[in-house]
Amino acid sequence: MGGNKSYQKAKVLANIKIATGIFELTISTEIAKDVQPGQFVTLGSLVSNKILSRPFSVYDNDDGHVHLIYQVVGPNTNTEAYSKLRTQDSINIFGPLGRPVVIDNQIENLILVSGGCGLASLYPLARQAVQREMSVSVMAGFRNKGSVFGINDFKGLAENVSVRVATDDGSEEFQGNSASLFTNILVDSSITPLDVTKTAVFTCGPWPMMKKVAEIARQAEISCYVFLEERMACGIGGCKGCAIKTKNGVKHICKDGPCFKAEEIDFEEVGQDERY
Amino acid sequence: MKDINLSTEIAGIKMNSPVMNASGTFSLNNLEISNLDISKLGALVTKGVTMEPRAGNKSPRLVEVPGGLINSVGLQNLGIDIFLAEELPHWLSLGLPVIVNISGQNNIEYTRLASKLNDTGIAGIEVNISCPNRGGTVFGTSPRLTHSVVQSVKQVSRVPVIVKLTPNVTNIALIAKTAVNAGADVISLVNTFLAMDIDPVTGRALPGRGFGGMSGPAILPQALYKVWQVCQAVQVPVIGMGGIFNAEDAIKFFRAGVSAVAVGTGNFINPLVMSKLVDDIKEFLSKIGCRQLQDIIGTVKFS
Repeated sequence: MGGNKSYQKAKVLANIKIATGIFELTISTEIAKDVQPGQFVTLGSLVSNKILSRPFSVYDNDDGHVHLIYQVVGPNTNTEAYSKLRTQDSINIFGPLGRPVVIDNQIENLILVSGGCGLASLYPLARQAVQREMSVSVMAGFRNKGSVFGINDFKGLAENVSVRVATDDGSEEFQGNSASLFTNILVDSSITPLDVTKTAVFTCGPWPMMKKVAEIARQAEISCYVFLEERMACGIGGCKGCAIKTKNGVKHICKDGPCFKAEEIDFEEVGQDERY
Repeated sequence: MKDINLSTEIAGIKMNSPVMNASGTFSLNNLEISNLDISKLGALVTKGVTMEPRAGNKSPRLVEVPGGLINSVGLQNLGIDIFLAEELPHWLSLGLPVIVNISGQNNIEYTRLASKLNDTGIAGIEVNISCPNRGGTVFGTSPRLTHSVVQSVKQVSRVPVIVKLTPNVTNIALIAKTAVNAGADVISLVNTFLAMDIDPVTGRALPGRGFGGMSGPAILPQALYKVWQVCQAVQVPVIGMGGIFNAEDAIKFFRAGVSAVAVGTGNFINPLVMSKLVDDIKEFLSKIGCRQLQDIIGTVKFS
Protein backbone atom coordinates (compact mmCIF):
# COMPACT_ATOMS: atom_id res chain seq x y z
CA MET A 1 0.00 0.00 0.00
CA GLY A 2 1.07 3.62 -0.32
CA GLY A 3 3.02 5.47 2.31
CA ASN A 4 6.39 4.97 3.90
CA LYS A 5 5.34 4.24 7.46
CA SER A 6 6.35 0.90 8.85
CA TYR A 7 5.94 -1.03 12.10
CA GLN A 8 8.77 -3.40 12.85
CA LYS A 9 10.96 -5.07 15.39
CA ALA A 10 14.37 -3.42 15.42
CA LYS A 11 17.69 -3.85 17.18
CA VAL A 12 19.27 -1.49 19.65
CA LEU A 13 22.72 -0.39 18.52
CA ALA A 14 23.58 1.78 21.51
CA ASN A 15 21.95 3.33 24.56
CA ILE A 16 24.14 5.91 26.24
CA LYS A 17 23.56 8.16 29.23
CA ILE A 18 24.36 11.66 28.00
CA ALA A 19 23.28 13.74 31.02
CA THR A 20 21.57 13.29 34.36
CA GLY A 21 18.59 11.03 33.66
CA ILE A 22 18.89 11.62 29.91
CA PHE A 23 19.81 8.93 27.38
CA GLU A 24 20.51 8.67 23.68
CA LEU A 25 19.11 5.50 22.15
CA THR A 26 20.35 4.42 18.73
CA ILE A 27 18.19 1.92 16.87
CA SER A 28 19.11 0.13 13.65
CA THR A 29 16.06 0.40 11.42
CA GLU A 30 15.26 0.99 7.79
CA ILE A 31 12.62 3.47 8.97
CA ALA A 32 15.56 5.83 9.46
CA LYS A 33 16.01 6.57 5.78
CA ASP A 34 12.53 8.07 5.49
CA VAL A 35 12.58 10.32 8.56
CA GLN A 36 12.27 14.05 7.82
CA PRO A 37 12.85 16.96 10.24
CA GLY A 38 9.86 17.43 12.55
CA GLN A 39 8.91 13.77 12.50
CA PHE A 40 8.83 11.23 15.29
CA VAL A 41 8.62 7.50 15.91
CA THR A 42 6.89 5.50 18.61
CA LEU A 43 8.50 2.74 20.63
CA GLY A 44 6.54 -0.24 21.90
CA SER A 45 5.77 -0.44 25.60
CA LEU A 46 8.13 -2.61 27.63
CA VAL A 47 6.24 -2.27 30.89
CA SER A 48 3.78 -5.14 31.16
CA ASN A 49 0.71 -3.27 32.37
CA LYS A 50 1.17 -0.29 30.05
CA ILE A 51 -0.09 -0.75 26.52
CA LEU A 52 0.50 2.40 24.50
CA SER A 53 3.60 3.02 22.42
CA ARG A 54 5.63 6.07 23.42
CA PRO A 55 6.34 8.90 20.95
CA PHE A 56 9.85 10.36 20.57
CA SER A 57 11.19 13.01 18.22
CA VAL A 58 13.97 11.75 16.03
CA TYR A 59 17.10 13.59 17.14
CA ASP A 60 19.24 12.43 14.26
CA ASN A 61 19.10 9.81 11.53
CA ASP A 62 21.06 8.36 8.67
CA ASP A 63 20.13 5.62 6.21
CA GLY A 64 20.12 2.89 8.82
CA HIS A 65 19.76 4.38 12.28
CA VAL A 66 17.56 6.67 14.31
CA HIS A 67 18.84 8.44 17.40
CA LEU A 68 16.29 9.26 20.09
CA ILE A 69 16.85 11.31 23.20
CA TYR A 70 14.68 10.66 26.21
CA GLN A 71 14.48 11.47 29.86
CA VAL A 72 13.69 8.85 32.47
CA VAL A 73 10.53 10.23 34.03
CA GLY A 74 10.18 7.94 37.02
CA PRO A 75 10.20 4.40 38.37
CA ASN A 76 8.11 1.74 36.60
CA THR A 77 7.87 3.88 33.49
CA ASN A 78 8.69 2.93 29.96
CA THR A 79 11.48 5.49 29.86
CA GLU A 80 13.08 3.69 32.78
CA ALA A 81 12.68 0.37 30.93
CA TYR A 82 14.18 1.89 27.77
CA SER A 83 17.17 3.09 29.79
CA LYS A 84 17.99 -0.57 30.52
CA LEU A 85 18.04 -1.61 26.86
CA ARG A 86 21.38 -2.96 25.71
CA THR A 87 23.03 -3.43 22.35
CA GLN A 88 21.26 -6.16 20.32
CA ASP A 89 18.06 -5.98 22.37
CA SER A 90 14.87 -5.81 20.29
CA ILE A 91 12.22 -3.12 20.39
CA ASN A 92 9.10 -2.41 18.34
CA ILE A 93 9.34 0.82 16.41
CA PHE A 94 6.70 2.60 14.29
CA GLY A 95 7.33 5.50 11.98
CA PRO A 96 8.11 7.89 10.56
CA LEU A 97 5.11 9.75 12.00
CA GLY A 98 4.04 13.37 11.93
CA ARG A 99 4.21 16.10 9.35
CA PRO A 100 7.69 16.93 8.10
CA VAL A 101 8.81 20.50 8.73
CA VAL A 102 10.28 22.44 5.84
CA ILE A 103 11.61 25.84 6.81
CA ASP A 104 10.17 28.56 4.58
CA ASN A 105 12.32 29.61 1.64
CA GLN A 106 12.70 33.25 2.61
CA ILE A 107 14.13 32.40 6.05
CA GLU A 108 17.80 33.29 6.58
CA ASN A 109 17.99 33.31 10.37
CA LEU A 110 16.71 30.37 12.33
CA ILE A 111 16.23 30.68 16.09
CA LEU A 112 15.72 27.52 18.12
CA VAL A 113 14.51 27.84 21.71
CA SER A 114 14.25 24.75 23.87
CA GLY A 115 13.61 23.60 27.40
CA GLY A 116 15.07 20.30 28.60
CA CYS A 117 14.66 17.37 26.23
CA GLY A 118 12.77 19.63 23.83
CA LEU A 119 16.16 20.39 22.33
CA ALA A 120 16.08 16.95 20.70
CA SER A 121 13.19 17.90 18.39
CA LEU A 122 15.09 20.93 17.12
CA TYR A 123 18.34 19.31 16.02
CA PRO A 124 16.99 18.11 12.63
CA LEU A 125 15.84 21.68 11.92
CA ALA A 126 19.32 22.98 12.67
CA ARG A 127 20.69 20.40 10.27
CA GLN A 128 18.24 21.46 7.57
CA ALA A 129 19.06 25.13 8.17
CA VAL A 130 22.81 24.57 7.94
CA GLN A 131 22.40 22.68 4.68
CA ARG A 132 20.53 25.67 3.35
CA GLU A 133 23.21 28.05 4.69
CA MET A 134 21.03 29.86 7.18
CA SER A 135 22.43 31.29 10.37
CA VAL A 136 21.29 29.33 13.40
CA SER A 137 20.95 30.59 16.96
CA VAL A 138 20.20 28.01 19.59
CA MET A 139 18.92 28.95 23.04
CA ALA A 140 18.81 25.84 25.15
CA GLY A 141 17.44 25.82 28.66
CA PHE A 142 18.19 23.10 31.19
CA ARG A 143 17.49 22.49 34.86
CA ASN A 144 21.16 22.56 35.82
CA LYS A 145 24.66 21.84 34.57
CA GLY A 146 24.18 18.08 34.94
CA SER A 147 21.22 18.01 32.59
CA VAL A 148 22.93 19.82 29.71
CA PHE A 149 23.29 17.75 26.53
CA GLY A 150 23.69 18.11 22.79
CA ILE A 151 25.47 21.45 22.75
CA ASN A 152 28.53 20.16 20.91
CA ASP A 153 26.30 18.43 18.35
CA PHE A 154 24.77 21.78 17.42
CA LYS A 155 28.11 23.60 17.51
CA GLY A 156 29.62 20.89 15.33
CA LEU A 157 27.13 21.51 12.52
CA ALA A 158 28.73 24.70 11.24
CA GLU A 159 30.74 27.75 12.24
CA ASN A 160 27.71 30.01 12.12
CA VAL A 161 25.67 28.02 14.63
CA SER A 162 25.66 29.92 17.90
CA VAL A 163 24.56 28.16 21.06
CA ARG A 164 23.58 29.81 24.32
CA VAL A 165 22.75 27.80 27.40
CA ALA A 166 20.49 28.80 30.27
CA THR A 167 20.17 26.85 33.49
CA ASP A 168 17.48 27.33 36.08
CA ASP A 169 20.06 27.43 38.87
CA GLY A 170 22.78 29.28 36.97
CA SER A 171 25.21 26.37 37.24
CA GLU A 172 26.02 26.69 33.55
CA GLU A 173 26.17 29.95 31.58
CA PHE A 174 23.08 32.16 31.87
CA GLN A 175 20.81 31.83 34.89
CA GLY A 176 17.19 31.72 33.86
CA ASN A 177 15.21 30.13 31.11
CA SER A 178 15.65 30.03 27.38
CA ALA A 179 12.67 32.32 26.81
CA SER A 180 14.64 35.05 28.60
CA LEU A 181 17.62 34.33 26.37
CA PHE A 182 15.31 34.78 23.42
CA THR A 183 14.17 38.15 24.75
CA ASN A 184 17.79 39.16 25.21
CA ILE A 185 18.82 38.22 21.72
CA LEU A 186 16.14 40.44 20.26
CA VAL A 187 17.56 43.47 22.05
CA ASP A 188 21.19 42.42 21.53
CA SER A 189 22.78 44.98 19.24
CA SER A 190 25.08 42.42 17.62
CA ILE A 191 22.10 40.70 16.07
CA THR A 192 19.71 43.57 15.59
CA PRO A 193 18.50 44.96 13.41
CA LEU A 194 17.24 41.51 12.64
CA ASP A 195 15.22 41.30 9.46
CA VAL A 196 12.10 39.85 11.01
CA THR A 197 10.69 38.77 7.67
CA LYS A 198 13.71 36.51 7.18
CA THR A 199 13.68 35.08 10.70
CA ALA A 200 11.76 32.17 12.18
CA VAL A 201 11.75 30.73 15.66
CA PHE A 202 10.96 27.13 16.55
CA THR A 203 10.41 26.18 20.15
CA CYS A 204 10.03 22.91 22.02
CA GLY A 205 9.83 22.44 25.75
CA PRO A 206 7.57 23.05 28.75
CA TRP A 207 4.29 24.77 27.94
CA PRO A 208 4.87 28.04 29.88
CA MET A 209 8.21 28.49 28.11
CA MET A 210 6.74 27.93 24.66
CA LYS A 211 3.86 30.26 25.44
CA LYS A 212 6.33 32.95 26.46
CA VAL A 213 8.45 32.43 23.35
CA ALA A 214 5.37 32.63 21.14
CA GLU A 215 4.31 35.85 22.81
CA ILE A 216 7.74 37.46 22.40
CA ALA A 217 7.84 36.36 18.76
CA ARG A 218 4.38 37.74 18.12
CA GLN A 219 5.37 41.14 19.51
CA ALA A 220 8.55 41.13 17.45
CA GLU A 221 6.56 39.99 14.39
CA ILE A 222 8.75 36.94 13.92
CA SER A 223 7.05 33.77 12.67
CA CYS A 224 6.97 31.18 15.43
CA TYR A 225 6.42 27.45 15.47
CA VAL A 226 5.77 25.28 18.52
CA PHE A 227 6.19 21.55 19.06
CA LEU A 228 3.19 20.16 20.92
CA GLU A 229 2.81 16.98 22.88
CA GLU A 230 -0.27 14.99 23.86
CA ARG A 231 -1.23 11.51 24.85
CA MET A 232 -1.67 9.49 21.66
CA ALA A 233 -2.67 5.96 20.79
CA CYS A 234 -2.46 5.23 17.07
CA GLY A 235 0.10 7.88 16.00
CA ILE A 236 -1.46 8.26 12.54
CA GLY A 237 -4.56 10.40 13.01
CA GLY A 238 -7.03 7.55 13.30
CA CYS A 239 -7.97 7.36 16.96
CA LYS A 240 -8.58 11.12 17.34
CA GLY A 241 -7.04 10.92 20.79
CA CYS A 242 -4.49 13.73 20.41
CA ALA A 243 -6.87 16.28 18.93
CA ILE A 244 -6.44 19.96 19.69
CA LYS A 245 -8.78 22.75 18.77
CA THR A 246 -6.83 25.25 16.69
CA LYS A 247 -7.91 28.50 15.08
CA ASN A 248 -8.18 26.45 11.87
CA GLY A 249 -10.37 23.73 13.33
CA VAL A 250 -9.61 20.43 15.02
CA LYS A 251 -6.08 19.15 14.31
CA HIS A 252 -4.24 16.06 15.44
CA ILE A 253 -0.83 16.41 17.00
CA CYS A 254 0.35 13.07 15.62
CA LYS A 255 -0.59 13.76 12.01
CA ASP A 256 -0.93 17.52 11.49
CA GLY A 257 1.90 18.20 13.95
CA PRO A 258 3.69 17.85 16.24
CA CYS A 259 4.99 21.20 14.93
CA PHE A 260 2.36 23.92 14.51
CA LYS A 261 2.39 27.61 13.67
CA ALA A 262 2.09 29.36 17.02
CA GLU A 263 -0.61 31.68 15.64
CA GLU A 264 -2.86 28.64 15.07
CA ILE A 265 -2.75 27.67 18.72
CA ASP A 266 -5.05 29.09 21.36
CA PHE A 267 -2.54 29.10 24.20
CA GLU A 268 -5.14 29.90 26.82
CA GLU A 269 -7.42 27.05 25.78
CA VAL A 270 -4.71 24.43 25.47
CA GLY A 271 -2.76 25.72 28.45
CA GLN A 272 -5.69 25.18 30.77
CA ASP A 273 -4.97 21.51 30.69
CA GLU A 274 -1.80 22.04 32.71
CA ARG A 275 -0.39 18.93 31.22
CA TYR A 276 2.87 20.31 29.93
CA MET B 1 0.13 -27.99 8.44
CA LYS B 2 -2.92 -28.06 6.25
CA ASP B 3 -4.18 -24.54 5.71
CA ILE B 4 -7.44 -24.02 7.55
CA ASN B 5 -10.03 -22.08 5.63
CA LEU B 6 -11.35 -19.37 7.91
CA SER B 7 -13.72 -17.76 5.42
CA THR B 8 -17.17 -17.24 6.81
CA GLU B 9 -20.50 -15.59 6.16
CA ILE B 10 -22.32 -13.45 8.67
CA ALA B 11 -25.86 -12.33 7.86
CA GLY B 12 -25.03 -12.75 4.19
CA ILE B 13 -21.76 -10.76 4.44
CA LYS B 14 -19.03 -12.94 2.93
CA MET B 15 -15.75 -12.60 4.84
CA ASN B 16 -12.24 -13.92 4.18
CA SER B 17 -11.85 -14.51 7.89
CA PRO B 18 -13.76 -13.89 11.11
CA VAL B 19 -11.44 -11.00 12.03
CA MET B 20 -12.33 -7.34 11.68
CA ASN B 21 -11.56 -4.07 13.40
CA ALA B 22 -13.64 -2.41 16.07
CA SER B 23 -15.14 0.90 14.98
CA GLY B 24 -12.83 3.87 15.49
CA THR B 25 -9.60 1.93 15.77
CA PHE B 26 -8.63 1.54 12.13
CA SER B 27 -8.71 4.45 9.72
CA LEU B 28 -7.80 5.13 6.12
CA ASN B 29 -4.57 6.54 7.54
CA ASN B 30 -3.58 2.96 8.39
CA LEU B 31 -3.14 2.43 4.66
CA GLU B 32 -0.03 4.61 4.86
CA ILE B 33 1.67 1.71 6.64
CA SER B 34 3.75 0.01 3.96
CA ASN B 35 3.93 -3.44 5.58
CA LEU B 36 0.22 -3.69 6.45
CA ASP B 37 -1.72 -6.48 4.73
CA ILE B 38 -5.49 -6.19 5.01
CA SER B 39 -6.33 -8.91 2.49
CA LYS B 40 -6.90 -11.54 5.18
CA LEU B 41 -9.41 -9.49 7.13
CA GLY B 42 -13.11 -10.29 7.11
CA ALA B 43 -14.46 -6.76 6.98
CA LEU B 44 -13.56 -3.17 7.74
CA VAL B 45 -15.66 -1.12 10.13
CA THR B 46 -15.59 2.66 9.83
CA LYS B 47 -15.47 5.14 12.67
CA GLY B 48 -18.89 6.23 13.93
CA VAL B 49 -20.56 8.74 11.66
CA THR B 50 -23.26 11.20 12.70
CA MET B 51 -25.69 13.44 10.80
CA GLU B 52 -23.82 16.64 11.56
CA PRO B 53 -20.04 17.16 11.84
CA ARG B 54 -18.78 16.86 15.40
CA ALA B 55 -15.61 18.44 16.78
CA GLY B 56 -15.38 15.90 19.60
CA ASN B 57 -14.67 16.26 23.30
CA LYS B 58 -12.11 18.39 25.07
CA SER B 59 -8.60 17.17 25.61
CA PRO B 60 -6.99 15.22 27.06
CA ARG B 61 -9.05 12.52 25.44
CA LEU B 62 -6.94 9.54 26.42
CA VAL B 63 -5.76 8.16 29.72
CA GLU B 64 -3.66 5.07 30.01
CA VAL B 65 -4.58 2.85 32.94
CA PRO B 66 -3.09 -0.51 33.95
CA GLY B 67 -3.70 -2.86 31.05
CA GLY B 68 -5.99 -0.48 29.27
CA LEU B 69 -7.00 2.85 27.93
CA ILE B 70 -9.83 5.25 28.78
CA ASN B 71 -10.96 7.37 25.84
CA SER B 72 -13.37 10.20 25.47
CA VAL B 73 -13.17 11.19 21.83
CA GLY B 74 -16.80 12.20 21.48
CA LEU B 75 -17.55 10.84 18.00
CA GLN B 76 -15.39 13.38 16.23
CA ASN B 77 -16.30 13.08 12.55
CA LEU B 78 -17.10 15.15 9.49
CA GLY B 79 -20.76 14.15 9.27
CA ILE B 80 -22.54 11.75 6.92
CA ASP B 81 -22.58 13.97 3.82
CA ILE B 82 -18.83 14.53 3.72
CA PHE B 83 -18.30 10.90 4.72
CA LEU B 84 -20.33 9.67 1.76
CA ALA B 85 -18.70 12.05 -0.69
CA GLU B 86 -15.08 11.92 0.38
CA GLU B 87 -14.33 9.00 2.66
CA LEU B 88 -16.57 6.07 1.77
CA PRO B 89 -15.27 5.67 -1.82
CA HIS B 90 -11.79 5.01 -0.41
CA TRP B 91 -13.11 2.36 1.97
CA LEU B 92 -15.08 0.70 -0.82
CA SER B 93 -12.02 0.56 -3.06
CA LEU B 94 -10.16 -1.75 -0.68
CA GLY B 95 -11.84 -4.96 -1.79
CA LEU B 96 -13.31 -5.93 1.59
CA PRO B 97 -16.86 -5.73 2.93
CA VAL B 98 -17.34 -2.31 4.52
CA ILE B 99 -19.52 -1.86 7.58
CA VAL B 100 -20.45 1.69 8.48
CA ASN B 101 -20.95 2.52 12.15
CA ILE B 102 -23.72 5.07 12.76
CA SER B 103 -24.68 7.16 15.79
CA GLY B 104 -27.77 9.27 16.16
CA GLN B 105 -29.28 11.44 18.84
CA ASN B 106 -32.81 10.16 18.19
CA ASN B 107 -34.70 7.68 16.01
CA ILE B 108 -35.07 10.18 13.19
CA GLU B 109 -31.32 10.70 12.95
CA TYR B 110 -30.65 6.96 12.99
CA THR B 111 -33.16 6.32 10.22
CA ARG B 112 -31.88 9.22 8.12
CA LEU B 113 -28.33 7.87 8.47
CA ALA B 114 -29.49 4.37 7.52
CA SER B 115 -31.40 5.70 4.49
CA LYS B 116 -28.45 7.71 3.24
CA LEU B 117 -26.32 4.55 3.41
CA ASN B 118 -28.71 2.49 1.27
CA ASP B 119 -27.40 1.62 -2.21
CA THR B 120 -23.92 2.93 -1.49
CA GLY B 121 -22.17 -0.43 -1.88
CA ILE B 122 -21.58 -1.05 1.82
CA ALA B 123 -21.99 -4.55 3.24
CA GLY B 124 -23.78 -3.56 6.43
CA ILE B 125 -24.37 -0.94 9.05
CA GLU B 126 -23.45 -1.14 12.70
CA VAL B 127 -25.87 0.78 14.87
CA ASN B 128 -24.05 2.22 17.84
CA ILE B 129 -26.65 2.42 20.57
CA SER B 130 -24.11 3.33 23.22
CA CYS B 131 -24.21 7.09 22.75
CA PRO B 132 -26.43 9.42 24.78
CA ASN B 133 -29.55 10.84 23.18
CA ARG B 134 -30.80 14.36 23.73
CA GLY B 135 -32.39 13.44 27.03
CA GLY B 136 -29.10 12.11 28.32
CA THR B 137 -30.21 8.48 28.27
CA VAL B 138 -28.09 5.97 26.45
CA PHE B 139 -30.29 4.06 23.98
CA GLY B 140 -28.56 0.80 24.72
CA THR B 141 -29.34 0.88 28.43
CA SER B 142 -33.09 0.93 27.83
CA PRO B 143 -34.93 -2.05 26.29
CA ARG B 144 -37.71 0.30 25.15
CA LEU B 145 -35.36 2.73 23.36
CA THR B 146 -33.31 -0.15 21.97
CA HIS B 147 -36.40 -1.72 20.46
CA SER B 148 -37.64 1.48 18.90
CA VAL B 149 -34.33 2.53 17.36
CA VAL B 150 -33.54 -0.92 15.95
CA GLN B 151 -37.03 -1.27 14.56
CA SER B 152 -36.82 2.19 12.96
CA VAL B 153 -33.48 1.44 11.33
CA LYS B 154 -34.64 -1.98 10.10
CA GLN B 155 -37.66 -0.38 8.46
CA VAL B 156 -35.47 1.70 6.15
CA SER B 157 -32.16 -0.16 5.82
CA ARG B 158 -31.55 -2.44 2.87
CA VAL B 159 -28.32 -3.91 4.26
CA PRO B 160 -27.74 -6.24 7.24
CA VAL B 161 -28.07 -4.38 10.53
CA ILE B 162 -25.54 -5.05 13.27
CA VAL B 163 -26.49 -3.63 16.66
CA LYS B 164 -23.56 -2.73 18.90
CA LEU B 165 -24.32 -3.01 22.59
CA THR B 166 -22.96 -1.15 25.55
CA PRO B 167 -21.77 -3.39 28.41
CA ASN B 168 -22.87 -0.77 30.95
CA VAL B 169 -26.16 -2.49 31.76
CA THR B 170 -27.39 -4.89 34.41
CA ASN B 171 -28.97 -7.41 32.04
CA ILE B 172 -27.26 -7.45 28.67
CA ALA B 173 -29.10 -10.60 27.56
CA LEU B 174 -32.37 -8.68 27.80
CA ILE B 175 -31.05 -5.82 25.64
CA ALA B 176 -29.66 -8.29 23.09
CA LYS B 177 -32.96 -10.21 22.87
CA THR B 178 -34.84 -6.94 22.53
CA ALA B 179 -32.60 -5.87 19.64
CA VAL B 180 -33.07 -9.21 17.89
CA ASN B 181 -36.84 -9.06 18.38
CA ALA B 182 -36.76 -5.62 16.78
CA GLY B 183 -34.98 -7.11 13.76
CA ALA B 184 -31.22 -6.95 14.44
CA ASP B 185 -29.41 -9.30 12.05
CA VAL B 186 -26.21 -9.41 14.11
CA ILE B 187 -25.22 -8.33 17.61
CA SER B 188 -21.78 -6.90 18.30
CA LEU B 189 -20.33 -6.22 21.72
CA VAL B 190 -18.80 -4.89 23.85
CA ASN B 191 -18.45 -1.18 23.46
CA THR B 192 -16.27 0.38 26.17
CA PHE B 193 -16.86 0.19 29.92
CA LEU B 194 -17.52 3.52 31.63
CA ALA B 195 -14.49 4.55 33.63
CA MET B 196 -12.59 7.50 35.02
CA ASP B 197 -9.21 8.32 36.46
CA ILE B 198 -8.22 11.03 38.93
CA ASP B 199 -4.81 12.65 39.01
CA PRO B 200 -3.79 12.08 42.64
CA VAL B 201 -1.66 15.24 42.71
CA THR B 202 -3.91 17.79 41.00
CA GLY B 203 -7.22 16.11 41.75
CA ARG B 204 -8.21 16.52 38.15
CA ALA B 205 -10.69 14.02 36.65
CA LEU B 206 -9.51 12.32 33.49
CA PRO B 207 -10.09 12.20 30.55
CA GLY B 208 -10.89 15.90 30.13
CA ARG B 209 -14.63 15.32 30.01
CA GLY B 210 -14.38 13.72 33.45
CA PHE B 211 -15.01 10.15 32.36
CA GLY B 212 -14.75 7.96 29.31
CA GLY B 213 -14.90 4.43 28.00
CA MET B 214 -12.31 1.84 28.92
CA SER B 215 -10.84 -0.68 26.51
CA GLY B 216 -7.79 -2.87 26.23
CA PRO B 217 -6.57 -6.18 27.65
CA ALA B 218 -7.80 -5.27 31.14
CA ILE B 219 -11.47 -5.50 30.08
CA LEU B 220 -11.22 -8.87 28.33
CA PRO B 221 -12.67 -11.01 31.14
CA GLN B 222 -15.57 -8.62 31.67
CA ALA B 223 -16.22 -8.42 27.94
CA LEU B 224 -16.02 -12.19 27.60
CA TYR B 225 -18.68 -12.69 30.25
CA LYS B 226 -21.07 -10.21 28.60
CA VAL B 227 -20.42 -11.81 25.22
CA TRP B 228 -21.08 -15.29 26.58
CA GLN B 229 -24.35 -14.10 28.14
CA VAL B 230 -25.48 -12.67 24.81
CA CYS B 231 -24.46 -15.79 22.88
CA GLN B 232 -26.70 -17.79 25.24
CA ALA B 233 -29.61 -15.42 24.74
CA VAL B 234 -29.83 -14.93 20.97
CA GLN B 235 -29.82 -17.05 17.83
CA VAL B 236 -28.32 -14.45 15.47
CA PRO B 237 -24.56 -14.24 14.87
CA VAL B 238 -22.54 -12.36 17.48
CA ILE B 239 -19.36 -10.37 16.85
CA GLY B 240 -17.24 -10.35 20.00
CA MET B 241 -14.72 -7.77 21.05
CA GLY B 242 -13.04 -6.43 24.16
CA GLY B 243 -9.30 -6.56 24.76
CA ILE B 244 -8.49 -9.07 22.01
CA PHE B 245 -4.83 -8.93 21.05
CA ASN B 246 -3.75 -12.46 20.17
CA ALA B 247 -5.10 -15.83 19.01
CA GLU B 248 -5.62 -17.15 22.53
CA ASP B 249 -7.79 -14.12 23.31
CA ALA B 250 -9.81 -14.60 20.13
CA ILE B 251 -10.30 -18.33 20.73
CA LYS B 252 -11.83 -17.56 24.13
CA PHE B 253 -14.50 -15.48 22.38
CA PHE B 254 -15.11 -18.20 19.77
CA ARG B 255 -15.52 -20.77 22.54
CA ALA B 256 -18.04 -18.39 24.15
CA GLY B 257 -20.02 -18.60 20.92
CA VAL B 258 -19.17 -15.66 18.65
CA SER B 259 -19.08 -15.97 14.88
CA ALA B 260 -16.41 -13.30 14.44
CA VAL B 261 -14.11 -11.16 16.53
CA ALA B 262 -13.06 -7.53 16.31
CA VAL B 263 -9.80 -5.95 17.41
CA GLY B 264 -9.94 -2.46 18.84
CA THR B 265 -7.25 -1.10 21.11
CA GLY B 266 -4.91 -3.86 19.88
CA ASN B 267 -4.60 -1.92 16.63
CA PHE B 268 -3.02 0.93 18.60
CA ILE B 269 -0.51 -1.38 20.25
CA ASN B 270 0.49 -3.03 16.98
CA PRO B 271 -1.04 -1.71 13.74
CA LEU B 272 -0.28 -5.03 12.01
CA VAL B 273 -1.99 -7.16 14.65
CA MET B 274 -5.18 -8.14 12.77
CA SER B 275 -3.41 -9.87 9.91
CA LYS B 276 -1.17 -11.73 12.34
CA LEU B 277 -4.25 -12.70 14.32
CA VAL B 278 -5.73 -14.48 11.28
CA ASP B 279 -2.54 -16.54 10.84
CA ASP B 280 -2.28 -17.27 14.54
CA ILE B 281 -5.91 -18.41 14.83
CA LYS B 282 -5.26 -20.92 12.02
CA GLU B 283 -2.14 -22.16 13.75
CA PHE B 284 -3.93 -22.44 17.07
CA LEU B 285 -6.83 -24.42 15.59
CA SER B 286 -4.45 -26.71 13.79
CA LYS B 287 -2.45 -27.32 16.95
CA ILE B 288 -5.49 -28.44 18.92
CA GLY B 289 -6.70 -30.61 16.06
CA CYS B 290 -9.56 -28.52 14.70
CA ARG B 291 -10.10 -28.50 10.95
CA GLN B 292 -12.46 -25.58 10.85
CA LEU B 293 -13.47 -22.66 12.99
CA GLN B 294 -16.95 -24.13 13.41
CA ASP B 295 -15.46 -26.94 15.54
CA ILE B 296 -14.63 -24.54 18.31
CA ILE B 297 -17.52 -22.07 18.35
CA GLY B 298 -19.59 -22.34 21.52
CA THR B 299 -17.45 -25.08 23.04
CA VAL B 300 -17.03 -23.52 26.46
CA LYS B 301 -17.37 -26.22 29.13
CA PHE B 302 -18.71 -25.83 32.66
CA SER B 303 -17.62 -28.51 35.10
